[in-house]
Amino acid sequence: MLSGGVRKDIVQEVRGHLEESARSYGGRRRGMRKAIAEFGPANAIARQYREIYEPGIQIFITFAAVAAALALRSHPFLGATSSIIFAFLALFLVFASIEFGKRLGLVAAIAAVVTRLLQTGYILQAYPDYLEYSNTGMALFIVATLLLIPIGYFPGTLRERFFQRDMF
Amino acid sequence: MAREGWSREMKKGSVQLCILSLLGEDRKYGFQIIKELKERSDGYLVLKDGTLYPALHRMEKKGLIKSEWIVENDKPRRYYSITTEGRAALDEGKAEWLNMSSSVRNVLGVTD
Repeated sequence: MLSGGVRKDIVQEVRGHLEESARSYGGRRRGMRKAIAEFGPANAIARQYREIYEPGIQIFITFAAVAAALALRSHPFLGATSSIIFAFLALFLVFASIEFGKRLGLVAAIAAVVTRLLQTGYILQAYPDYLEYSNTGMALFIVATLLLIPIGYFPGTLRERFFQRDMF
Repeated sequence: MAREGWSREMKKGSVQLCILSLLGEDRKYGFQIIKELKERSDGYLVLKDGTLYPALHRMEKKGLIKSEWIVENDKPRRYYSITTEGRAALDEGKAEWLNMSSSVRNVLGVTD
């Protein structure tokens, strides 16, 4: 998920540490097992790096594209299942924000919001008689759409602020 | 809170200061920092090895330290050194730590 250059640096640094640590524990095979055990769980450490470094641009584009695709399918005019897909879209944004940072969550949320609004504008223009709605209904739709932005942004912010890493 | 809990909380607050202090003396690489922290604290500050490196990267992003790759015996090592901002932060941190330590000692009624 990190960019190539950052990943290469991290791998090289960790490899160097493990080699030196293994030597300090008396040798290659047994020493390396102990060095790896002392290093700590890989996924927890990887998460710490992900919190420091933003994902590469391809990851931003991928998450924005997935959010936009879900947003397209979540439009109310598509029927009853659209509500389920909207809920899934919200969960997806929360996941993106917590796992990959508030900026990625925000970018994905903006992609979803823009998609839903453009989709609505297009339908209203191209098929003016197709979409039946009340003013209240349209207002609720817009509010629900705009709510995706804090949904994509705040979980990542809360995680940064309150989740403390245990170093000992 | 159990003793282990107290220990963890107190260590969290001081480890960044200790890392800056070590790097204030000379540039060092990660394994060296872990070893010196343990030795110079008489075994009190023992970090989980893997957690030091993200902490160093975080400090570098904040501009407190900088890094460079140096090849020694055909092996590349990432050395960290303190920046001007890091030195200023270290001085402030030391002053604050001494202040806090003295105040807490007074409250706890602890004498040397």
